[in-house]
Amino acid sequence: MQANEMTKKPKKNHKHLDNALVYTGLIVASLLVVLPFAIVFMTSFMTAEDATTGGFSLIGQSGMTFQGYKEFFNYKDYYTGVPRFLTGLGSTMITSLVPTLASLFFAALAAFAFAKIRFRMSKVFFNIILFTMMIPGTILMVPHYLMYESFGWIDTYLPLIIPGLFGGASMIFFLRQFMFGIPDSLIEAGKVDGLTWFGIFIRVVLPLTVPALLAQGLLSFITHYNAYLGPRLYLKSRDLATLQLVVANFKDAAKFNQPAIMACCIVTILPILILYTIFQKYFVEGIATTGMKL
Amino acid sequence: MTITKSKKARSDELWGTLFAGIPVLGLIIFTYIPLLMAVIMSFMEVPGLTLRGAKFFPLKQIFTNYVTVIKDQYFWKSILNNIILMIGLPISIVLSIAIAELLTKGLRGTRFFKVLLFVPYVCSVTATTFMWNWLLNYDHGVVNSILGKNINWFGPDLFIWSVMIMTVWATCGYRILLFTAAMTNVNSSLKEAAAVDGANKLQIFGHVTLPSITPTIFYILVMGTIGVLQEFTRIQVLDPTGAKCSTVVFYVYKKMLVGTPEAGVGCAASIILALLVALLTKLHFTISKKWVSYDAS
Repeated sequence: MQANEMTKKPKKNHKHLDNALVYTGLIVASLLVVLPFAIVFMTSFMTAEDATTGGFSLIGQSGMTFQGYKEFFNYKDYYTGVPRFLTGLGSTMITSLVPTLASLFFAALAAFAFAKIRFRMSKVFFNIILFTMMIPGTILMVPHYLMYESFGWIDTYLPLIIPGLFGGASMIFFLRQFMFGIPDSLIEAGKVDGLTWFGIFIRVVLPLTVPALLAQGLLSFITHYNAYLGPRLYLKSRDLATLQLVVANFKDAAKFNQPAIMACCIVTILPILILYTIFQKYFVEGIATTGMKL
Repeated sequence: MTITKSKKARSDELWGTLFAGIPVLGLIIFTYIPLLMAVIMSFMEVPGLTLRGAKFFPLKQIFTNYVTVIKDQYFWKSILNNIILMIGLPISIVLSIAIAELLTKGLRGTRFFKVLLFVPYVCSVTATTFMWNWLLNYDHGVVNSILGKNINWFGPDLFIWSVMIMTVWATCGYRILLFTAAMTNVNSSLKEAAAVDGANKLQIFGHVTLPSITPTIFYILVMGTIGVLQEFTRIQVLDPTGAKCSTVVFYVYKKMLVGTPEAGVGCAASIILALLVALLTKLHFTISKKWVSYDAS
């Protein structure tokens, strides 16, 4: 924003031209984001025949129809008759909310220790945590599978929940950065009031960390919501399938009904889009203030 | 006084270690031990997808799994595909810097654009892949219709390039945000001084802005390289057996869940990959001393 101050040219026309160019660039970039969604949205209201006869068209000859959406919501469990969209959403909620909330708590607790408590292992612990960012997940695929197999965790939600409870590197790093900004005098005041370290964390630090917790919590929730490889590996039975597996499986069920597949994409993206629209401030600022440096 | 002080220090020691120790414990169990397991198992014959009955190869043939991987053409094809995906990284970085530069002009509506451009990043890879599969459809896709050509985007030849386009589309939003943040932090007095000295916009960008965002470029380069090597979902949902296209993750996945499981071979493949990543990261860090400046902003 301040940067703008001195890029202002003395000549007014020049500035108008510059601004027009900037807007043109931003609009082109935005169109590249919006148009794919818009086209898919239009396709989702077509009949299967209209979508796949002739070349590309925006609106089908037989007009708009909800058949794609109906087809997706009629994609039901054979025995219970419950739409797979709902069972998938349930699975996704369990495997997203539990690890997000737990890891948020433990990550914040650890971040608090790193930011405000002096202890001997601080640096060692922090490096152990940070180094995991450098480990490519690929290398853990086989050992994870065998480990969970020996625990009897395959075809349960546990492999998607338990490892994610403890808080990970980027979350701890981010929260620590944020907590550095909390004045030490507040911590001291808490001590004078006779609070324990845990008391200070709960009563003083957590309330001040809410924006950062929201930012990280939302990012974590979305990552879990969108996860595909883990569920694909560990969940064998279809009743356990998360939403993303339902989407992938629905593609085979819908066969050549492209509008139905597009409807399925729209429906499963929608909850995240709503969440994002409501909390966009926290997303944008959460990432913007990370200030990652290696 | 000294007694209470040492007591206080001991309490700090205890609670600090405990609080920070929880994630450390979690990461030791679920990251470091599996890491060690991967190394050990890469030297073992693992029958099926279970640890029961796994045994080391005799010393003379200890590298059997590695030999299997190195002799496997399909593995090298997967590596090649990962390398092709890496081309998307500089493309995405250049695009993100350009858009971030436009976003830091401070014009009205900037925030709206910022929020909008981030949308692909929050959408699931599964759904957006099906979307692009439709947009790039051979007969009925909008892209072929605009280009007026019949390009087989998901044929064996172009598949990986289409995946690359999708990854650039999906990851730019996140990088734009990181760059915008870095650029807003650029010391404005430096820019002013450059402008007073008669530098034009391009020169200011090249000599002031660009050097001060090098730490962010470096961060994205290192993490992006690791990210590119994880590519799996976009390919698997469109080509479940990996007949047309594969990446290293897909290779390991196939060794586990498609056909006869060869967990040991999968481990060896992932260790080779990890060594390549480590080498590449080391290279990044060594070269970075020449171009990354941490004091400009």
